[in-house]
Amino acid sequence: MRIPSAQQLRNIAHRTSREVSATLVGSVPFVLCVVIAKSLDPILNLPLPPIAIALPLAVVLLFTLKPRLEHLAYNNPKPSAILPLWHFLDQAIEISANRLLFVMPLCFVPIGVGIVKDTNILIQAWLVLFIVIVPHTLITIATTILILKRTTTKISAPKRRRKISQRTTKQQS
Amino acid sequence: MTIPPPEIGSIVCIATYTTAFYLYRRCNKPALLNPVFLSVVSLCILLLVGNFDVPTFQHNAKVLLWLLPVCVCALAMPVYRLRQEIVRQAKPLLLSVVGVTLLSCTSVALVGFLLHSTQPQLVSALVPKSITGPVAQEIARAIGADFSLGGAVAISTGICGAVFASLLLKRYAPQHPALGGIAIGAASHGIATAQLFAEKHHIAGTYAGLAMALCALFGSIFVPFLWIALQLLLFG
Repeated sequence: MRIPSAQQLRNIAHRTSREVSATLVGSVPFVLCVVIAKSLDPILNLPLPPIAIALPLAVVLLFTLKPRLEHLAYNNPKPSAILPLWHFLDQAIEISANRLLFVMPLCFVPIGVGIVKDTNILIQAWLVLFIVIVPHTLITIATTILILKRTTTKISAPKRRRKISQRTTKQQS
Repeated sequence: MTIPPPEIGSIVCIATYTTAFYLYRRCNKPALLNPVFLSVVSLCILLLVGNFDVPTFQHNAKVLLWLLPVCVCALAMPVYRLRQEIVRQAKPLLLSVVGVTLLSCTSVALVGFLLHSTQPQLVSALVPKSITGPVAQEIARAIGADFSLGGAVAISTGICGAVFASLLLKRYAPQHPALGGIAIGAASHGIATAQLFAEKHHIAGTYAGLAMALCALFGSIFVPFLWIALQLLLFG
């Protein structure tokens, strides 16, 4: 095994520290949305968990923040000494979102383990649970895809007909 | 019983998931070796054999449970990237959300009634199975079902969807990842959505996340009323 040189180690350390700092800084908006949702939950008292408030908040925050950051980082007509900071912030949010989505399946594992609490009922009604969970889910997904394929062509068809008739009237004129 | 060190649950979950992920990639990604499915099954066996307390284990995995809503908020990023395409697909998205929720709840109640007609409480716990776990628990509580069983059924549905998500996408919607994502997200919610992102199906994952959120919203409003109607129809 080759031992990396000092320069290579310095490069690796620099890249790693940049990735880590980008991940931490970029996750701040998402953490903020969760904190706000959890503090609003007892006030609003909706029949939905705080996560249902956090996701729309994150969408609204990103739709307002990201265009502004992109404009400051890439389309800013005025030269700015802190341009690298806007670049970094813009990339940090993208990097952090990719990392968080990559580890999302891991976060479901402690929740999935909770099915052990209902072992008695799961054993008693195993047949109906198996039928409902496995074949029913697969049939629902496959049927939905097939229906959507048919209905999306039907929904988009009238616009295609309109475009063709507009083209023929233009050609005639 | 000795007090376990804090966050031992998180460490065990991370170690199990990493091993399962390594095995999944090493064996060329077979559906049944899905990392989430494998991790959950092996941890369940470990907890049952070792007679460990599940709530204590979940309490010691607080870091991962805290990270989950942050990861769900990160779904906003792919929604932002595909915003123009999503506006174009708004009609099929909304139609499928309404259709899948109603179809899934009605058909599952019928299947449950045919197999266990003497137990309306069990049947009611099956109704919100296509809706994401925390919302499914709230709906189960609202309709008088065992909320813990309702959550367990929803989680198992999500794991089943996660196992078969890639296969279904390749088989039925290879040219239409958006439609595949909508169907998978509406039927198998968060865990299947996470699996789509882990396998780099970003377009399908984005639509799955949107469908999951809309199903949760639609389901929390209409499923209790739907259950009242089904209860009158099936159980008199």
